[in-house]
Amino acid sequence: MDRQQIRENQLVERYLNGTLSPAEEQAFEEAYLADPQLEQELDLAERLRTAFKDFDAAGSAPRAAPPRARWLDLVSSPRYALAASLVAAVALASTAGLYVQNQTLRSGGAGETFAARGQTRLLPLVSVRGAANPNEIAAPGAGELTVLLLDPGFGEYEVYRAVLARRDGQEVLRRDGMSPTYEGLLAFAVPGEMLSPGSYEIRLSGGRRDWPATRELDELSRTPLTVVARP
Amino acid sequence: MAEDSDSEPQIAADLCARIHQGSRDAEEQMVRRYGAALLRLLKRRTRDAELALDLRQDTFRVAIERLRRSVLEDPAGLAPYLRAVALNLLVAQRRKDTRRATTADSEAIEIAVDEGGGPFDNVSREQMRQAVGVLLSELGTPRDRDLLTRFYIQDQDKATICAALDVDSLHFNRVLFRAKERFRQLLLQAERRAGSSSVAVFRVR
Repeated sequence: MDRQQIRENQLVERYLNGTLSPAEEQAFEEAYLADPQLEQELDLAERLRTAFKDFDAAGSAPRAAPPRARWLDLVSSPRYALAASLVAAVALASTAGLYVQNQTLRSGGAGETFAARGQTRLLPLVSVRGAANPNEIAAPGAGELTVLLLDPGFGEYEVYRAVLARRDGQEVLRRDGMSPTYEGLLAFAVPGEMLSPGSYEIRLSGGRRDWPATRELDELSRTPLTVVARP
Repeated sequence: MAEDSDSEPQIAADLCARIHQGSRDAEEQMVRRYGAALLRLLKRRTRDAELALDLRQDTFRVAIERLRRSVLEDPAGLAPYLRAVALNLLVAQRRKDTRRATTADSEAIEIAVDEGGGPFDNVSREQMRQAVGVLLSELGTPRDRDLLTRFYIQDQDKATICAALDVDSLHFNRVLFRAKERFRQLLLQAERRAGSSSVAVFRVR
Protein backbone atom coordinates (compact mmCIF):
# COMPACT_ATOMS: atom_id res chain seq x y z
CA MET A 1 0.00 0.00 0.00
CA ASP A 2 1.89 3.06 -1.19
CA ARG A 3 1.26 6.78 -0.71
CA GLN A 4 -0.11 7.27 -4.22
CA GLN A 5 -2.66 4.52 -3.73
CA ILE A 6 -3.62 5.92 -0.34
CA ARG A 7 -4.14 9.44 -1.69
CA GLU A 8 -5.91 8.52 -4.89
CA ASN A 9 -8.39 6.32 -3.08
CA GLN A 10 -8.91 8.64 -0.08
CA LEU A 11 -8.00 5.77 2.21
CA VAL A 12 -7.21 8.17 5.07
CA GLU A 13 -10.68 9.72 4.98
CA ARG A 14 -12.41 6.42 4.32
CA TYR A 15 -10.62 4.93 7.31
CA LEU A 16 -11.83 7.82 9.46
CA ASN A 17 -15.36 7.36 8.12
CA GLY A 18 -15.18 3.62 8.80
CA THR A 19 -15.95 2.69 5.20
CA LEU A 20 -12.92 0.52 4.41
CA SER A 21 -13.39 -3.22 3.98
CA PRO A 22 -11.80 -5.35 6.75
CA ALA A 23 -8.91 -6.26 4.44
CA GLU A 24 -8.33 -2.63 3.44
CA GLU A 25 -8.54 -1.56 7.06
CA GLN A 26 -5.93 -4.10 8.11
CA ALA A 27 -3.58 -3.10 5.31
CA PHE A 28 -4.05 0.59 6.08
CA GLU A 29 -3.47 0.15 9.81
CA GLU A 30 -0.31 -1.82 9.18
CA ALA A 31 0.81 0.88 6.77
CA TYR A 32 0.42 3.76 9.21
CA LEU A 33 1.89 1.80 12.11
CA ALA A 34 5.00 1.39 10.00
CA ASP A 35 5.07 4.94 8.67
CA PRO A 36 5.19 7.85 11.13
CA GLN A 37 4.63 10.32 8.29
CA LEU A 38 1.43 8.60 7.26
CA GLU A 39 0.33 8.58 10.89
CA GLN A 40 0.78 12.37 10.94
CA GLU A 41 -1.22 12.64 7.73
CA LEU A 42 -3.98 10.68 9.40
CA ASP A 43 -3.80 12.97 12.42
CA LEU A 44 -4.13 16.04 10.20
CA ALA A 45 -7.07 14.56 8.27
CA GLU A 46 -8.84 13.74 11.51
CA ARG A 47 -8.35 17.29 12.78
CA LEU A 48 -9.59 18.72 9.48
CA ARG A 49 -12.69 16.54 9.58
CA THR A 50 -13.44 17.56 13.16
CA ALA A 51 -12.85 21.21 12.34
CA PHE A 52 -15.25 21.08 9.39
CA LYS A 53 -17.96 19.54 11.57
CA ASP A 54 -17.36 22.21 14.22
CA PHE A 55 -17.44 24.92 11.57
CA ASP A 56 -20.73 23.62 10.26
CA ALA A 57 -22.20 23.35 13.74
CA ALA A 58 -21.18 26.91 14.58
CA GLY A 59 -22.52 28.24 11.28
CA SER A 60 -25.89 26.58 11.64
CA ALA A 61 -26.31 27.58 15.24
CA PRO A 62 -28.86 30.33 15.79
CA ARG A 63 -27.17 33.69 16.24
CA ALA A 64 -28.38 36.44 18.46
CA ALA A 65 -30.06 39.16 16.44
CA PRO A 66 -28.98 42.77 17.07
CA PRO A 67 -31.41 44.79 19.14
CA ARG A 68 -34.16 45.79 16.77
CA ALA A 69 -34.81 49.19 18.26
CA ARG A 70 -31.18 50.37 17.77
CA TRP A 71 -31.11 49.13 14.19
CA LEU A 72 -34.33 50.93 13.37
CA ASP A 73 -33.07 54.06 15.05
CA LEU A 74 -29.93 54.01 12.91
CA VAL A 75 -31.53 53.54 9.48
CA SER A 76 -34.27 56.02 10.14
CA SER A 77 -31.95 58.80 11.25
CA PRO A 78 -31.44 61.81 8.90
CA ARG A 79 -27.65 61.41 9.06
CA TYR A 80 -27.93 57.79 7.81
CA ALA A 81 -30.19 58.90 4.96
CA LEU A 82 -27.70 61.60 3.94
CA ALA A 83 -24.72 59.20 4.02
CA ALA A 84 -26.62 56.55 2.05
CA SER A 85 -27.56 59.11 -0.61
CA LEU A 86 -23.94 60.17 -1.01
CA VAL A 87 -22.75 56.56 -1.35
CA ALA A 88 -25.45 55.87 -3.94
CA ALA A 89 -24.45 58.96 -5.96
CA VAL A 90 -20.77 57.98 -5.98
CA ALA A 91 -21.60 54.41 -6.98
CA LEU A 92 -23.85 55.61 -9.81
CA ALA A 93 -21.15 57.91 -11.16
CA SER A 94 -18.45 55.25 -11.15
CA THR A 95 -20.80 52.69 -12.74
CA ALA A 96 -21.58 55.15 -15.52
CA GLY A 97 -17.85 55.68 -16.07
CA LEU A 98 -17.23 51.94 -16.31
CA TYR A 99 -20.14 51.57 -18.74
CA VAL A 100 -18.71 54.22 -21.05
CA GLN A 101 -15.25 52.63 -20.86
CA ASN A 102 -16.72 49.22 -21.65
CA GLN A 103 -18.59 50.54 -24.67
CA THR A 104 -15.38 52.15 -25.94
CA LEU A 105 -13.48 48.89 -25.65
CA ARG A 106 -16.24 46.96 -27.44
CA SER A 107 -16.42 49.34 -30.37
CA GLY A 108 -12.67 49.94 -30.69
CA GLY A 109 -11.58 46.28 -30.53
CA ALA A 110 -10.12 45.11 -27.28
CA GLY A 111 -7.44 43.01 -28.97
CA GLU A 112 -5.79 46.00 -30.56
CA THR A 113 -5.98 47.98 -27.36
CA PHE A 114 -4.37 45.18 -25.35
CA ALA A 115 -1.81 44.59 -28.05
CA ALA A 116 -0.83 48.21 -28.14
CA ARG A 117 -0.37 48.23 -24.39
CA GLY A 118 1.44 44.88 -24.28
CA GLN A 119 -1.14 43.38 -21.90
CA THR A 120 -0.68 40.12 -20.05
CA ARG A 121 -3.59 37.82 -19.42
CA LEU A 122 -3.58 35.12 -16.71
CA LEU A 123 -5.61 32.04 -17.51
CA PRO A 124 -5.97 29.27 -14.92
CA LEU A 125 -6.72 26.07 -16.80
CA VAL A 126 -9.24 23.73 -15.21
CA SER A 127 -9.64 20.04 -15.63
CA VAL A 128 -13.35 19.21 -15.86
CA ARG A 129 -14.98 16.01 -16.95
CA GLY A 130 -17.67 16.10 -19.61
CA ALA A 131 -18.10 17.16 -23.16
CA ALA A 132 -17.87 20.90 -22.63
CA ASN A 133 -14.39 22.34 -22.70
CA PRO A 134 -14.14 24.99 -19.97
CA ASN A 135 -10.83 26.29 -21.29
CA GLU A 136 -12.07 28.45 -24.12
CA ILE A 137 -10.60 31.88 -24.73
CA ALA A 138 -10.84 34.59 -27.32
CA ALA A 139 -7.74 34.84 -29.50
CA PRO A 140 -5.24 37.23 -27.96
CA GLY A 141 -3.78 40.19 -29.80
CA ALA A 142 -0.33 39.84 -31.38
CA GLY A 143 1.45 41.73 -28.62
CA GLU A 144 -0.51 40.20 -25.79
CA LEU A 145 1.07 37.63 -23.52
CA THR A 146 -1.19 34.82 -22.30
CA VAL A 147 0.04 33.10 -19.16
CA LEU A 148 -1.55 29.68 -18.81
CA LEU A 149 -1.59 28.60 -15.17
CA LEU A 150 -1.16 24.84 -15.02
CA ASP A 151 -1.83 22.70 -11.99
CA PRO A 152 1.12 20.33 -11.41
CA GLY A 153 -0.92 18.03 -9.15
CA PHE A 154 0.72 16.58 -6.10
CA GLY A 155 3.33 14.20 -7.44
CA GLU A 156 6.77 14.55 -5.95
CA TYR A 157 8.34 16.24 -8.96
CA GLU A 158 10.81 19.11 -9.02
CA VAL A 159 10.88 20.21 -12.65
CA TYR A 160 8.18 20.30 -15.26
CA ARG A 161 7.86 20.54 -19.02
CA ALA A 162 4.86 22.14 -20.70
CA VAL A 163 4.14 21.66 -24.37
CA LEU A 164 1.50 23.57 -26.29
CA ALA A 165 0.44 21.59 -29.33
CA ARG A 166 -2.32 21.76 -31.85
CA ARG A 167 -4.80 18.93 -31.65
CA ASP A 168 -3.37 17.48 -34.86
CA GLY A 169 -0.09 16.98 -32.95
CA GLN A 170 1.88 19.94 -34.32
CA GLU A 171 3.98 21.36 -31.49
CA VAL A 172 3.66 25.13 -31.06
CA LEU A 173 5.71 25.91 -27.96
CA ARG A 174 7.73 23.96 -25.39
CA ARG A 175 9.17 25.07 -22.06
CA ASP A 176 11.50 22.95 -19.96
CA GLY A 177 12.74 23.30 -16.41
CA MET A 178 9.58 24.93 -15.05
CA SER A 179 8.80 24.94 -11.35
CA PRO A 180 5.64 25.97 -9.47
CA THR A 181 5.44 29.61 -8.51
CA TYR A 182 2.19 31.51 -8.07
CA GLU A 183 -0.21 29.60 -5.77
CA GLY A 184 1.70 26.40 -6.49
CA LEU A 185 0.83 26.62 -10.19
CA LEU A 186 3.09 26.54 -13.23
CA ALA A 187 3.09 29.72 -15.29
CA PHE A 188 3.35 28.88 -18.99
CA ALA A 189 3.69 32.14 -20.94
CA VAL A 190 2.55 32.03 -24.57
CA PRO A 191 3.02 34.98 -26.96
CA GLY A 192 -0.26 36.09 -28.52
CA GLU A 193 0.79 35.36 -32.09
CA MET A 194 1.14 31.65 -31.21
CA LEU A 195 -2.47 31.34 -30.11
CA SER A 196 -4.39 31.66 -33.34
CA PRO A 197 -7.96 30.31 -33.31
CA GLY A 198 -8.10 26.52 -33.12
CA SER A 199 -7.98 23.55 -30.80
CA TYR A 200 -4.91 22.96 -28.67
CA GLU A 201 -3.69 20.66 -25.98
CA ILE A 202 -1.27 21.44 -23.16
CA ARG A 203 0.80 18.44 -22.22
CA LEU A 204 2.45 18.55 -18.84
CA SER A 205 5.23 16.23 -17.71
CA GLY A 206 7.32 16.16 -14.56
CA GLY A 207 10.64 14.84 -13.36
CA ARG A 208 13.26 15.13 -10.66
CA ARG A 209 16.64 16.79 -10.84
CA ASP A 210 18.48 13.64 -9.78
CA TRP A 211 17.02 11.58 -12.60
CA PRO A 212 19.53 10.45 -15.24
CA ALA A 213 19.46 12.53 -18.42
CA THR A 214 18.32 9.53 -20.41
CA ARG A 215 15.17 9.06 -18.35
CA GLU A 216 11.93 10.34 -19.88
CA LEU A 217 9.74 12.67 -17.83
CA ASP A 218 6.46 11.27 -16.50
CA GLU A 219 3.42 12.53 -18.36
CA LEU A 220 1.08 14.18 -15.86
CA SER A 221 -1.83 15.65 -17.78
CA ARG A 222 -3.25 16.71 -21.12
CA THR A 223 -5.50 19.73 -20.91
CA PRO A 224 -7.56 20.90 -23.87
CA LEU A 225 -7.64 24.58 -24.81
CA THR A 226 -9.82 26.18 -27.46
CA VAL A 227 -9.02 29.56 -28.94
CA VAL A 228 -11.88 31.23 -30.75
CA ALA A 229 -11.72 34.22 -33.03
CA ARG A 230 -12.55 37.56 -31.50
CA PRO A 231 -16.07 38.70 -32.41
CA MET B 1 21.45 1.73 14.63
CA ALA B 2 18.09 2.40 13.01
CA GLU B 3 17.78 5.82 11.40
CA ASP B 4 14.70 7.61 10.10
CA SER B 5 16.09 7.60 6.61
CA ASP B 6 16.14 3.80 6.56
CA SER B 7 13.13 1.97 5.19
CA GLU B 8 10.63 0.45 7.58
CA PRO B 9 11.69 -3.20 6.97
CA GLN B 10 15.31 -2.30 7.80
CA ILE B 11 14.34 -0.33 10.88
CA ALA B 12 12.01 -3.05 12.14
CA ALA B 13 14.53 -5.85 11.59
CA ASP B 14 17.24 -3.81 13.30
CA LEU B 15 15.04 -3.10 16.32
CA CYS B 16 14.01 -6.76 16.64
CA ALA B 17 17.62 -7.93 16.52
CA ARG B 18 18.83 -5.38 19.06
CA ILE B 19 15.97 -6.03 21.48
CA HIS B 20 16.75 -9.74 21.27
CA GLN B 21 20.36 -8.91 22.13
CA GLY B 22 19.14 -7.07 25.22
CA SER B 23 19.34 -3.44 24.12
CA ARG B 24 17.10 -1.27 26.34
CA ASP B 25 17.76 1.61 23.98
CA ALA B 26 16.18 -0.37 21.13
CA GLU B 27 13.12 -1.07 23.29
CA GLU B 28 12.65 2.63 23.86
CA GLN B 29 13.12 3.32 20.18
CA MET B 30 10.42 0.80 19.33
CA VAL B 31 8.01 2.45 21.76
CA ARG B 32 8.77 5.90 20.35
CA ARG B 33 8.40 4.78 16.76
CA TYR B 34 5.15 2.84 17.04
CA GLY B 35 3.59 4.33 20.18
CA ALA B 36 1.51 7.16 18.67
CA ALA B 37 0.09 5.08 15.83
CA LEU B 38 -0.69 2.18 18.14
CA LEU B 39 -2.54 4.46 20.52
CA ARG B 40 -4.55 5.95 17.64
CA LEU B 41 -5.51 2.48 16.47
CA LEU B 42 -6.56 1.41 19.96
CA LYS B 43 -8.50 4.62 20.66
CA ARG B 44 -10.39 4.12 17.45
CA ARG B 45 -11.24 0.54 18.36
CA THR B 46 -12.07 1.12 22.02
CA ARG B 47 -13.46 4.70 21.98
CA ASP B 48 -11.93 4.84 25.44
CA ALA B 49 -8.70 6.81 25.88
CA GLU B 50 -7.80 5.26 29.25
CA LEU B 51 -8.38 1.72 28.07
CA ALA B 52 -6.41 2.44 24.90
CA LEU B 53 -3.45 3.64 26.98
CA ASP B 54 -3.57 0.49 29.11
CA LEU B 55 -3.79 -1.76 26.10
CA ARG B 56 -0.89 -0.01 24.43
CA GLN B 57 1.24 -0.48 27.51
CA ASP B 58 0.30 -4.17 27.59
CA THR B 59 1.03 -4.52 23.87
CA PHE B 60 4.56 -3.25 24.31
CA ARG B 61 5.03 -5.40 27.38
CA VAL B 62 4.01 -8.53 25.49
CA ALA B 63 6.09 -7.58 22.45
CA ILE B 64 9.23 -6.83 24.45
CA GLU B 65 8.92 -10.07 26.38
CA ARG B 66 8.57 -11.98 23.15
CA LEU B 67 11.43 -10.20 21.39
CA ARG B 68 13.78 -10.66 24.30
CA ARG B 69 12.96 -14.36 24.33
CA SER B 70 13.04 -15.11 20.60
CA VAL B 71 13.20 -13.40 17.23
CA LEU B 72 10.13 -12.90 15.07
CA GLU B 73 9.64 -15.15 12.10
CA ASP B 74 9.51 -12.02 9.96
CA PRO B 75 11.43 -9.29 11.83
CA ALA B 76 10.64 -6.77 9.10
CA GLY B 77 6.96 -7.21 9.93
CA LEU B 78 7.17 -5.68 13.39
CA ALA B 79 4.27 -3.27 12.72
CA PRO B 80 1.80 -6.01 11.72
CA TYR B 81 2.98 -8.03 14.72
CA LEU B 82 2.31 -5.15 17.13
CA ARG B 83 -1.12 -4.62 15.58
CA ALA B 84 -1.97 -8.29 15.99
CA VAL B 85 -0.86 -8.27 19.63
CA ALA B 86 -2.89 -5.12 20.33
CA LEU B 87 -6.03 -6.54 18.74
CA ASN B 88 -5.63 -9.86 20.56
CA LEU B 89 -5.36 -8.04 23.86
CA LEU B 90 -8.43 -6.00 22.97
CA VAL B 91 -10.42 -9.14 22.18
CA ALA B 92 -9.27 -10.69 25.43
CA GLN B 93 -10.26 -7.59 27.31
CA ARG B 94 -13.65 -7.57 25.69
CA ARG B 95 -14.18 -11.15 26.75
CA LYS B 96 -13.36 -9.92 30.21
CA ASP B 97 -10.45 -12.29 30.37
CA THR B 98 -7.72 -11.52 32.76
CA ARG B 99 -5.07 -9.51 31.08
CA ARG B 100 -2.04 -11.46 30.14
CA ALA B 101 0.19 -11.87 33.16
CA THR B 102 3.81 -11.17 32.65
CA THR B 103 6.83 -12.42 34.45
CA ALA B 104 9.37 -10.11 32.97
CA ASP B 105 11.37 -7.53 34.81
CA SER B 106 8.72 -4.85 35.24
CA GLU B 107 11.23 -2.08 35.85
CA ALA B 108 12.75 -2.67 32.46
CA ILE B 109 9.48 -2.93 30.60
CA GLU B 110 7.65 0.01 32.14
CA ILE B 111 8.74 2.38 29.43
CA ALA B 112 7.15 5.79 29.57
CA VAL B 113 5.72 6.73 26.19
CA ASP B 114 6.44 10.31 25.27
CA GLU B 115 3.04 11.92 24.61
CA GLY B 116 4.36 15.30 23.60
CA GLY B 117 5.28 14.47 20.03
CA GLY B 118 2.19 15.68 18.16
CA PRO B 119 2.86 18.67 15.90
CA PHE B 120 -0.49 20.37 16.66
CA ASP B 121 -1.00 19.43 20.29
CA ASN B 122 -1.30 23.07 21.40
CA VAL B 123 -3.87 24.04 18.79
CA SER B 124 -7.38 24.32 20.22
CA ARG B 125 -10.57 23.15 18.54
CA GLU B 126 -11.66 26.76 18.17
CA GLN B 127 -8.43 27.57 16.34
CA MET B 128 -8.97 24.60 14.04
CA ARG B 129 -12.52 25.79 13.35
CA GLN B 130 -11.19 29.25 12.50
CA ALA B 131 -8.62 27.67 10.20
CA VAL B 132 -11.42 25.99 8.24
CA GLY B 133 -13.09 29.38 7.86
CA VAL B 134 -9.90 30.86 6.44
CA LEU B 135 -9.38 27.85 4.20
CA LEU B 136 -12.88 28.11 2.73
CA SER B 137 -12.59 31.87 2.24
CA GLU B 138 -9.38 31.41 0.24
CA LEU B 139 -10.76 28.85 -2.19
CA GLY B 140 -10.92 30.11 -5.75
CA THR B 141 -14.32 28.82 -6.77
CA PRO B 142 -17.65 28.10 -5.08
CA ARG B 143 -17.45 24.64 -6.63
CA ASP B 144 -14.33 23.78 -4.62
CA ARG B 145 -16.02 25.01 -1.44
CA ASP B 146 -18.99 22.86 -2.29
CA LEU B 147 -16.68 19.90 -2.90
CA LEU B 148 -15.05 20.16 0.53
CA THR B 149 -18.35 20.76 2.29
CA ARG B 150 -19.90 17.71 0.71
CA PHE B 151 -16.87 15.59 1.55
CA TYR B 152 -16.14 16.67 5.11
CA ILE B 153 -19.54 17.74 6.40
CA GLN B 154 -22.05 15.70 4.44
CA ASP B 155 -19.75 12.64 4.26
CA GLN B 156 -20.50 12.09 0.57
CA ASP B 157 -18.12 9.80 -1.25
CA LYS B 158 -15.82 10.84 -4.06
CA ALA B 159 -17.84 9.27 -6.88
CA THR B 160 -21.03 11.01 -5.75
CA ILE B 161 -19.31 14.38 -5.46
CA CYS B 162 -17.53 14.10 -8.81
CA ALA B 163 -20.83 13.23 -10.52
CA ALA B 164 -22.77 16.00 -8.79
CA LEU B 165 -20.21 18.74 -9.47
CA ASP B 166 -19.03 17.39 -12.83
CA VAL B 167 -15.39 17.32 -11.80
CA ASP B 168 -12.91 14.58 -12.55
CA SER B 169 -11.02 12.45 -10.10
CA LEU B 170 -7.76 14.36 -10.51
CA HIS B 171 -9.38 17.68 -9.76
CA PHE B 172 -11.05 16.21 -6.69
CA ASN B 173 -7.70 14.89 -5.43
CA ARG B 174 -6.01 18.22 -6.02
CA VAL B 175 -8.62 20.21 -4.12
CA LEU B 176 -8.42 17.79 -1.21
CA PHE B 177 -4.64 17.77 -1.18
CA ARG B 178 -4.38 21.54 -1.25
CA ALA B 179 -7.01 21.92 1.45
CA LYS B 180 -4.99 19.66 3.73
CA GLU B 181 -1.75 21.44 2.96
CA ARG B 182 -3.28 24.86 3.68
CA PHE B 183 -4.91 23.55 6.84
CA ARG B 184 -1.51 22.21 7.95
CA GLN B 185 0.08 25.64 7.36
CA LEU B 186 -2.66 27.39 9.33
CA LEU B 187 -2.28 24.96 12.22
CA LEU B 188 1.48 25.45 12.21
CA GLN B 189 0.94 29.22 12.41
CA ALA B 190 -1.48 28.72 15.30
CA GLU B 191 0.94 26.35 17.00
CA ARG B 192 3.74 28.91 16.76
CA ARG B 193 1.51 31.64 18.12
CA ALA B 194 0.38 29.43 20.97
CA GLY B 195 3.83 29.88 22.47
CA SER B 196 3.46 33.64 22.83
CA SER B 197 -0.30 34.09 23.12
CA SER B 198 -3.29 32.05 24.11
CA VAL B 199 -5.34 33.39 21.20
CA ALA B 200 -4.41 32.79 17.58
CA VAL B 201 -5.49 35.29 14.97
CA PHE B 202 -5.55 34.09 11.40
CA ARG B 203 -4.77 36.51 8.65
CA VAL B 204 -7.16 36.31 5.73
CA ARG B 205 -5.37 36.79 2.44
